[in-house]
Amino acid sequence: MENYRVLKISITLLLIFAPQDFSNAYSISTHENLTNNIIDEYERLSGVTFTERQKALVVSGAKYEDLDARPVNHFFDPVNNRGLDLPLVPKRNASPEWATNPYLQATFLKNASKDTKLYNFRGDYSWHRAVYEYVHGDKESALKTLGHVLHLLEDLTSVPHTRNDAHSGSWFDGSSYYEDYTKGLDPDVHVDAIRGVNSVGRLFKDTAMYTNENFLSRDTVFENFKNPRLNLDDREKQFIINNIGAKLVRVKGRENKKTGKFKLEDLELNNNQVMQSYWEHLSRRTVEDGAALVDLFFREVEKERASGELLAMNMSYNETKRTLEQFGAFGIAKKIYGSSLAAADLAELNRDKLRGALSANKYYKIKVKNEEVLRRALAGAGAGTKVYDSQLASAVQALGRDRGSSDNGSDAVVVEAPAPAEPAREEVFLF
Amino acid sequence: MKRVVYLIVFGALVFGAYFALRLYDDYKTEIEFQQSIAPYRQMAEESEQYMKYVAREKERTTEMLRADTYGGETPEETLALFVEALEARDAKLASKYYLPWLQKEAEKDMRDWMENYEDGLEKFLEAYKKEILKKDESYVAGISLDIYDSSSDEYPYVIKMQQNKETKLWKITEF
Repeated sequence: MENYRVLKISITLLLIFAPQDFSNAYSISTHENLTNNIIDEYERLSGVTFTERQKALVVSGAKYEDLDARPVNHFFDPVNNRGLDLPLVPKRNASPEWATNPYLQATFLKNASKDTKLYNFRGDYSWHRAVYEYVHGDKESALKTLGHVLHLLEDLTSVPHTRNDAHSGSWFDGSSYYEDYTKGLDPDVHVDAIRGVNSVGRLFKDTAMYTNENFLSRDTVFENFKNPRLNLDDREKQFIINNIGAKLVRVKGRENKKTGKFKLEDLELNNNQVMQSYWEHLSRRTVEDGAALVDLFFREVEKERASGELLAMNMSYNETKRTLEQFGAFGIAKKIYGSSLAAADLAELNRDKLRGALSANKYYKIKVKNEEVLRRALAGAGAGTKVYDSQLASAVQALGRDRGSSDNGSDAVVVEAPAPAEPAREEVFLF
Repeated sequence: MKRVVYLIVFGALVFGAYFALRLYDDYKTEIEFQQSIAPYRQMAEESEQYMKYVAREKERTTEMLRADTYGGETPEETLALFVEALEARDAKLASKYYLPWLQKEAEKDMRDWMENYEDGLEKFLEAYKKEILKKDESYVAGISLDIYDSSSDEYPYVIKMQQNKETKLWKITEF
């Protein structure tokens, strides 16, 4: 065992310049079975019925998320908030980011262009794309995309995915005992109730934390993470039982007949009973959290129908940039002709467009000077008030100090410094 | 007439300037866009390289397994052959009963055992002769053969094995 580990470390060092992370995952049939169980439970508890075709679409999405280079993005270590991260190899995307960032998926797959709208990228199977398609586009594509996101959630109940264990399955890095054991298994989980969750990111974190803190993977047996801890007092016959009642690991050793003291010889994860116990706990959690994700999806669909938020932000890189620049053009016009319009007025006039551009820019990350002020102006407009409030006044003061550098006719947002006498009523201008 | 020409030239200049500015702006946007996606593209490139690397290594693994002809058709047969090699103090042959990628390290270990821990080796061979074997098949991958020495309270010798998927012969993975 020790020799094998040394061999693996040596090979890792030898391959410093070769990118060397790759994941296997639950087998395709296991994903298929888990997803079927999730949909069945969601239907039973919510009263919503999927047609056979709709169900097949979700399952098909869950089966195909492992294509191409996508699996390198299926890791999430919630303790250190990172994706797959091996020594001397660049980090990969953490799965919650992969699941929720359409632009990331498009660029990673080389499908991004500056003229394609945010929710039109090929190869994007992200969470909001699913919601967008369901409300404004193709419902079938939406369900398939939902399947892709379910796949990512399911992977977070596969232990190595949450403990930074690459488990590539090649000769220098073994496969996962858990994934080998669960190949083709069909869960029959019955959930008591659908758990209410408010964000996909939070759900991913909770799921990953449950897996990370309660279970072990082949290369992290009581190593690299604080939990679960090794406590030989938690031994029942030949297994250590963790605090949620799962067989954590098999212990091999002997009890001294005279002293009764246990001498530990080996800890084995490679054991059918241990893996069966893992499966019982983890498949239950997958189905519970999967049903919660499907429930969240339909709630987000309703939210989008009411708000049109995703529709507003469905802009290309170019459109987003131009929209934000329009405020610059306004600033120039204001300087030439004069205007009494304040930031909030302008924001109110262009509310939907500005809101969409700012939201889209969370993904595009186009550099816009004083973007925060734009956001606050929009927030003020949304509340039906001018941006004179004290919260913004402090931003005004801060930005006023930098005015010299931003007042240069570029696409920056320039803010008049507040007059000392009436700081709270000072107007905030976009240029 | 002259005024008309001036106007046309002026108009053309304005249009040209506007057109040039638009071109410059498009160019600038394209550069910014390419810069913004560069890190993701790099990550994608590295991932693709790795996919190829893993595929190559998996193929190599299969080739190594196919070429490996040492071992028995049952775990017990492989153990008997392994013990035979130890009795002959043939470290190289003993290591051949390990999985191919473990053989180099195993040969070193066997040699060290033979040269520096002769007593330990004899003790193992004695225990094996008593034939107190327990076959543990509770592993996800492989089995283990535990050799107990009934006269001792010591922990058994545990030899873990896996079947070579290509040749179906049993190979040692851990001892």
